[in-house]
Amino acid sequence: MPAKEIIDVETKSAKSLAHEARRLYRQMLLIRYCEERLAAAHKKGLVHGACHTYVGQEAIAAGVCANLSRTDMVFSTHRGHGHALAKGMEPRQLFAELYGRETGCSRGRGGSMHLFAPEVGMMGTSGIVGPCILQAAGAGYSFQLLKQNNLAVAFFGDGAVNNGAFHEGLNLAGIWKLPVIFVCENNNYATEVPFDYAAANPSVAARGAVYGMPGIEVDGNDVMAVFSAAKRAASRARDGDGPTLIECKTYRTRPHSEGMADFGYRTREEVEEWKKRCPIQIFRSRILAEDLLEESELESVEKEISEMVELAHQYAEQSPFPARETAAIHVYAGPADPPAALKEAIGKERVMTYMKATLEALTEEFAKNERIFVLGEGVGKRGGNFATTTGLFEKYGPERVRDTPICERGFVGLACGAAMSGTRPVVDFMFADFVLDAAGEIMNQIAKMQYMSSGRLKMPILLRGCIGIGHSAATHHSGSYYSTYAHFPGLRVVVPSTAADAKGLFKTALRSNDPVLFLEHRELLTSKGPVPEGDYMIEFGRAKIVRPGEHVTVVALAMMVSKTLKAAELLEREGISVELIDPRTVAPLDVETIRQSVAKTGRLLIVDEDFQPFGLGAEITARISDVGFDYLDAPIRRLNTVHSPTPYSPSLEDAVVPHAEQIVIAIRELVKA
Amino acid sequence: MAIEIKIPRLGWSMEEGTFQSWLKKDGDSIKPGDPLFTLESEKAAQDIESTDAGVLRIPDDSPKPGEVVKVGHVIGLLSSADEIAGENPKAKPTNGDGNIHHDGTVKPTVTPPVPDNLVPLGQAPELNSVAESAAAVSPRARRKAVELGLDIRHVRGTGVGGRITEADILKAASTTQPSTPHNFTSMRRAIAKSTALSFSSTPHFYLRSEVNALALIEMREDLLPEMEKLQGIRLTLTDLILRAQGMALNDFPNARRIWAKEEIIELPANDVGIVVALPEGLMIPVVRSPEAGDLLAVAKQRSSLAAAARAGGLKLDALQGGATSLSNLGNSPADDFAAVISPGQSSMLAVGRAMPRPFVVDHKVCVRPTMKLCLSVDHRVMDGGPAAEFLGRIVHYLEHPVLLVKGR
Repeated sequence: MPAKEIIDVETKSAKSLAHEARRLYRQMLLIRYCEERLAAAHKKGLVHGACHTYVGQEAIAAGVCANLSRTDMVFSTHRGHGHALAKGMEPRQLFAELYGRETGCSRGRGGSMHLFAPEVGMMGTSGIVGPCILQAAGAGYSFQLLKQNNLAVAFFGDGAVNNGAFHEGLNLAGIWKLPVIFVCENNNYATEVPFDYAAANPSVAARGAVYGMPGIEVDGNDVMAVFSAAKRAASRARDGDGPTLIECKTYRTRPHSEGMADFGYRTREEVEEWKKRCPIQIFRSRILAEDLLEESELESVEKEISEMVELAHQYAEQSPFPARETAAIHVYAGPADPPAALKEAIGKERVMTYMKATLEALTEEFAKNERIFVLGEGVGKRGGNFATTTGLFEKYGPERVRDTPICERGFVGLACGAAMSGTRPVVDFMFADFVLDAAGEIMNQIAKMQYMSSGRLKMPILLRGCIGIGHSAATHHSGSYYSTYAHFPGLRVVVPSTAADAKGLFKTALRSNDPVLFLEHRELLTSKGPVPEGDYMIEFGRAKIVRPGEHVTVVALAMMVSKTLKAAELLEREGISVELIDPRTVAPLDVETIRQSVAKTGRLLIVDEDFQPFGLGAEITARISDVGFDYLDAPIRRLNTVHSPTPYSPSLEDAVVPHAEQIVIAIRELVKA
Repeated sequence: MAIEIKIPRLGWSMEEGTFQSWLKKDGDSIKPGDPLFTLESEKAAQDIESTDAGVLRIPDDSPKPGEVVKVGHVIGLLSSADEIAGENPKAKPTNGDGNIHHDGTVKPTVTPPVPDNLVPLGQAPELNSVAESAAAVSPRARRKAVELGLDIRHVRGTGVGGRITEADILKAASTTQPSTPHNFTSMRRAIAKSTALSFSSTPHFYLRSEVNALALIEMREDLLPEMEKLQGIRLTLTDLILRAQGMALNDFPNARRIWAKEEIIELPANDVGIVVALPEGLMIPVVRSPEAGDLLAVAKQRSSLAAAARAGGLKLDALQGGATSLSNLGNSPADDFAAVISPGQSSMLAVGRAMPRPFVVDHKVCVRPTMKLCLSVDHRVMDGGPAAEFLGRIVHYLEHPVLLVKGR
């Protein structure tokens, strides 16, 4: 089909035809010139890390993005320079980022593989293959929930389609008819592994049918073919008919990454053959053949772009490096400090279960904030495996209380994209053990997103699940994991031990702009306690002195709090007075309250259901030896679950977890030490 | 040439101090600014920093912890790297030993080079090295021993493996003190000295007044919950009296005068000392300008000074300045008492407990909560008339407490 017929769907005027042709040509050329300049800069050492160029694939970014508005969103991969430019990132921001400068699009925090310009809908590129597919689905979810007529695009290579994220993401987008275009740039090699070796079925487009969406194969070196396919996919998405998968057959004519050897896995001849199919040259010939623009007009575009790229390079080279003292800025959105008015619970107290207390918090916040939605297995009509969403589905419907297939990585990655695009997902895992399938999405994406985007993206996402040993749940339903998450910068980790704390902390989590892991001990869910009515928030990083005492400080969390209380009551009769501190949040951790207590008692025991090595107890021990060494009258002790998977048989299960009796013995020994 | 380490003078009146402990070991490489040892003066214990660089030499007649030392007394030496090399050629730094530091000093890594006149490391009977070689003293016990001026070598440990714990130190302190009168704490010694000096050299006279504290107590009760809720600070009557005293000083600069070495000088600020009772004695840290800022600021200052005093963390400069102090025994059964003026000041306000007492209001005897004030005054600085005026201002503010909220 002639180019003008493709462009001409909306307008017949010759002037506008010329305008569109010029726009596409200009876009491709900008990408090509930028990439060539960056490759040269890499050789000179101006680019400090990896540099994956897009040379040979320009038609895809240009053709797809020509169909997008500024408020549509693009999620991309390690080979993302072209996508960023086509979505509207200024070339100088791209250059400055690769040169590691303060003026870079990610303020020097990302480099080639972490390009962010959310202000123009460039939502980021990822060094990990796959997550962009899930994140685009998440943005699609936000658009659907907020009734915005936007769409999201995921660009990814052929390497991604053999990855779980592809299959989980396409399935989720398919079942919920999300406004997303999945654009696979099949350049024949996943890094250096040939696609026809790596794929049992080498047609990517054919996989669309598996997930209930059109799968279209186009020549990725023909910008008009890409433009046209993307146009149909965009209309389909905007009309509410759901996602489309487009496979663009293409080839990168430079190495996987600049400086890498290129001919161990492919031949020089093959590369030369593809160079002849240069998308820019093809389009240039077509423009001239169809009389869309004069040669002189094309030359003036070439000159303009060439100058622009040179200026971008100069701008970047002259920009300063970011100040060293800013290296740890933007890890968190800010302190999760509730307003003074909400710090104190003033409502009348009622006795209710821990489970009901978090449900009350969620129900109250649901009514106030229509951006909140819940994702999880069985959270819809069923009301949650642990009755975490009872009553919400009936009132708010499936968009806000969404049952998911069993695909933890898929829906956590989707939640990440949703948070990036303006909604506030609550992910309900049932058991925290299940989340490990999504660990990469949490630790590599959710935790790092605010930092990588230099604080321009907020990540208001609440990930909740049950932890803890009991009732022969065995090892895939018993882990604690809070120390693991607290190890990563960017996450808040909340572990309440009472119903009232659970409600207040849940509210803080639902108003925090940081990702929060909210871990509920399963054996506490039906425990009852007084819970104030109405609105109140509990500050993160504020420990509670559960019980004042004189002789020994015990720090305990979750289920260990009530066990230690029992131990303390027994010891009181022996004249040993125990001060019990519940940190309530592991990250941030309130070391100061512990220090003050140790200053009084001189002795410290940490009772922790999570594993001992490298854990909460180790952290508290190190921090207290830093700030409270001179107060210590005895070595710090830890009491933990046995370092083994959790067994099933009651006799074995009972043997691995600390009990009040063991806490009593540990305290007695410590007081004598 | 080796540099002598001398006992410095901390404050103008200091003639001697109590050596507490070395903070470095014999043979340690010292940079300017490194803390060398802890010295207790009559005001507070202070870490003394080195002004020079070199290798520390501690002679065996160096003072023992708790020993009283004269200002100017030489307690150790700093040797230069060259001297050490000269004294002991075997200790010459060689490549690969890693013992040449950036600042040119030498840190012995294997055998410390020791001049003939010094006892080698390990034989020096010095607190830190003894404690470390035994490795059986808890940090808390070590700290307590220093605080009490107790020689830890005489203490038997009862913890696991014979570790000395705080309880062992406290037990040792309570049993050794009566039999060895020399061993009472350095704080007690400082108090004994300063009160005796003040009471014998300062001509005291006393002015008394009884204050109707109804409005004051009511106002405190009104403010207390709000301030405690918002700021977590408990507003005390002490804070309000400090405020009144500061405001009276501001109104009446004569009361800021002190007797200093045969002349009278007027202090520029309205600072007020506050007597903080401790298990072993008392400290008088100084609240800066209690008349200025809001009441919360006074309460915060008072509370952090008191906490620091109790934790043994008061710095020397927190004890300096102020022409007057407050001794409030409001929480005790004392109705009325007179205080000894703190050395270097010219007055001390003593306040007894607030109690319902008969009080005449509008020619009728009523029951009112009252406080009995007694101002001790240095007659060299102030006579009865002006002193009464100063006390009058204090009484006025305490009976019109709304003025206290606004401050100066």
